[in-house]
Amino acid sequence: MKKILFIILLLVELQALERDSTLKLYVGVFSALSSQNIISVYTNDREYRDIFRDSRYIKLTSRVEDANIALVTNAKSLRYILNKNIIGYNKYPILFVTDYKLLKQTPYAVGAFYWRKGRSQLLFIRDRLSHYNIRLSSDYQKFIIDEL
Amino acid sequence: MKKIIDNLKFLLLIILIGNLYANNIETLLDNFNQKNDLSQKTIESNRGHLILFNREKIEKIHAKSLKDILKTTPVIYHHENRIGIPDPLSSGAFEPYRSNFIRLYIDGVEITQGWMGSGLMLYGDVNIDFVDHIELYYLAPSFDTSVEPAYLTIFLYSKSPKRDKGAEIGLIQGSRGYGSQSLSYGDEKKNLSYMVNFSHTKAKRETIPNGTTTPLNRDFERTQLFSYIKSKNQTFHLQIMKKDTNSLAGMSYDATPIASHIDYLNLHIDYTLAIDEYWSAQFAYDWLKSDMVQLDDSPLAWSDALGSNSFNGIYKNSTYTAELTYKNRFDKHLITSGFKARYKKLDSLKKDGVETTISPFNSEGIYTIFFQDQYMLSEEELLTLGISYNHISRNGSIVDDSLLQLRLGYIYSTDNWSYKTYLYRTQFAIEPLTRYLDTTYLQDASQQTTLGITEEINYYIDSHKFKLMLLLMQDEHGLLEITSDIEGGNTKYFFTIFDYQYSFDSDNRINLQLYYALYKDIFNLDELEDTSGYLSITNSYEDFDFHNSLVWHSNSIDNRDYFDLTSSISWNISNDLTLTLKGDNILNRAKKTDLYRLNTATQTLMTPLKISPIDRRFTIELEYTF
Repeated sequence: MKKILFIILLLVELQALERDSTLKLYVGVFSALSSQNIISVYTNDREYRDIFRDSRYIKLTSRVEDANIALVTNAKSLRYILNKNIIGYNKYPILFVTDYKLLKQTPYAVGAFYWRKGRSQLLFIRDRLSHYNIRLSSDYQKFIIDEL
Repeated sequence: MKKIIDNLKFLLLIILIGNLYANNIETLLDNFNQKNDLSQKTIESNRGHLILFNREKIEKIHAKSLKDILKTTPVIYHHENRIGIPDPLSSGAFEPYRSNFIRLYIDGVEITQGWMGSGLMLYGDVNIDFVDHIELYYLAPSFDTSVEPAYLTIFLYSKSPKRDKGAEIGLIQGSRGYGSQSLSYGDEKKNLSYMVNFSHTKAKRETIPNGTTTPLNRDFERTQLFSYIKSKNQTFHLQIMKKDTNSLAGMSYDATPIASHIDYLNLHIDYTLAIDEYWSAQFAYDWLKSDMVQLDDSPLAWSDALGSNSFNGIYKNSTYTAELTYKNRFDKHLITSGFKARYKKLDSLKKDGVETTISPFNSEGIYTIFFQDQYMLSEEELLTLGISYNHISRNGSIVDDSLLQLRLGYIYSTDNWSYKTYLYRTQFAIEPLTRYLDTTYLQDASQQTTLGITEEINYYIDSHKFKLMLLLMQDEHGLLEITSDIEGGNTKYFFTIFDYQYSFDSDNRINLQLYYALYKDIFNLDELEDTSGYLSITNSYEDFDFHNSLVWHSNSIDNRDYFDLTSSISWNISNDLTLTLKGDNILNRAKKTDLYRLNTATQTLMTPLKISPIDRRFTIELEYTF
């Protein structure tokens, strides 16, 4: 129970992500995937761009080519990024997705943070991480699986 | 020097990042899950006394119908009446429908069966595959939601395609020939999101011996469609339900019907528009067709049968609701005000295929204005004041009613604990069906006034959550009282609920609930004590989820202990596929209530039948998402 707050909700806000906890989580995940102090992130998802905009640890890029990590939230974005022909093992950007189906659709996505039965799921795939020479710290080991 | 400063800056950055990630990923995930639980977006701790079933809890206890939720919820629990439909306040006597003042909402819009009763009568055991979370509030949590007075309010909130994108199939096969199928699909496109859920349930249920060669039957077959489309400021819902039922004792006084069937066809549509930041409007239409076939060897307990042994009638009724709400913040005040109107109409009664008019009373209009203020005394204290006035007008020479609802509350809240207290004055009028069936005695029946004082204390520490609720109420001129002079007397009651939740970790949780109620002058009893307990344990281990819960009931009517043990094991075969084995009422000792019988020849009460609304059932379920 927090301090008392007035709540005036618009319909659309019912589905929106909570900004602070979402930002903290993604900063944590992206920092685990990247050795950069300030991580360049590409996403064309308006909601995530709004969340990342004021972060001190994430720098939003407008070109996918300039990113360390591309956060992909839908199939159309995935097609757009793959069609750029810049994605490949051991190359930036690393793909991270928000949908389990997208993780299945491309072998280049190293992991996903998605919803399953109303609860969030964090997942990394061992082989794909090794293709990018990424070694995650010990507290991430329980989220790594060998294959889908 | 510049190099040293740069190095210091870098070191500072490392320390800052180090501190940030001192929150390890598990903590970040827990925090994310808690803050992004959809229930956090809809519950208002300022509203009142809440019992919450969030998505995680619904999934963990493997609740598939609202009945699975209500059977664990104090005060309501799950009861069915003599025609075999959900009616938690049923006394088991000869009454049309008693739980009219339990209001049910889906995505903030009330579902009502209008003339025939509360939305609960059909939705009380609805398939909840489309539901994300459920909130239950004692009395009306806020006047901006209620068109009519409420004793208890149930809010179902649907899943969001943002989190449940794509399709999901659920197949359940159970003992005694029980089968259920469900298909959901949700997606979002640009600024639109939509969801469709279709389900079909065929429930062969336990029969009830009644001393004849034909035991009472309450099998049902239900087909239901739930759908919505939402944009940034508009929502449209369409719901259809067809439920064919064998209606248990039906309208037979001695519970020995020769035939007893009621088939329902229900339609609900609503449209909500957020006009701007402050104004919103809502329109809803509910329609219900009730096709009743009743046959007995003595006159039926249904006045429209006109003293006959048989009744073959089709009722159609419509309900139109419109609301306009204004909500704005002025300094320390959050003001909510609005106007609501509802029109209930019995469209037609066709007896034996012929259009019939039995009573001139066939419509009711409800006009409500309300005003609420939440005044922030400090960052930790809130004062809430609400007033609502309802005018009910009726045709057919039935008297009108004017109802006044008042609510005054005080909330004190800190990070670790909160205290709430409310004073209520709520007035209820007899619902149209009851009055329609007995216009002679009930044309000017007085309204019930319920006075209440309630308190709640919550305390949170580490992974422990404690909650204590105390409610002291008095019903004056109780509508629910059975007395010889038709109009009721005063019922006083006190109930308390203690709830304790502990999370060992994110996979292992325990919930203990204790409930005690003392009623004075209720039904035809001087005193009634009701006690229950609920213990639920949920665990996850690798790909398996386990749930075990026990509901215990005892009351002073028969001083017997009843136990309802529910267990389930789910195997998450893959991310997309889950197999579940579940047992309901495994001990076959779930709570039973009395169904009263009258020997019409001698006009004497017979030994009541004891019936449990919870069948003993074992099911196997397959869920697949794609």
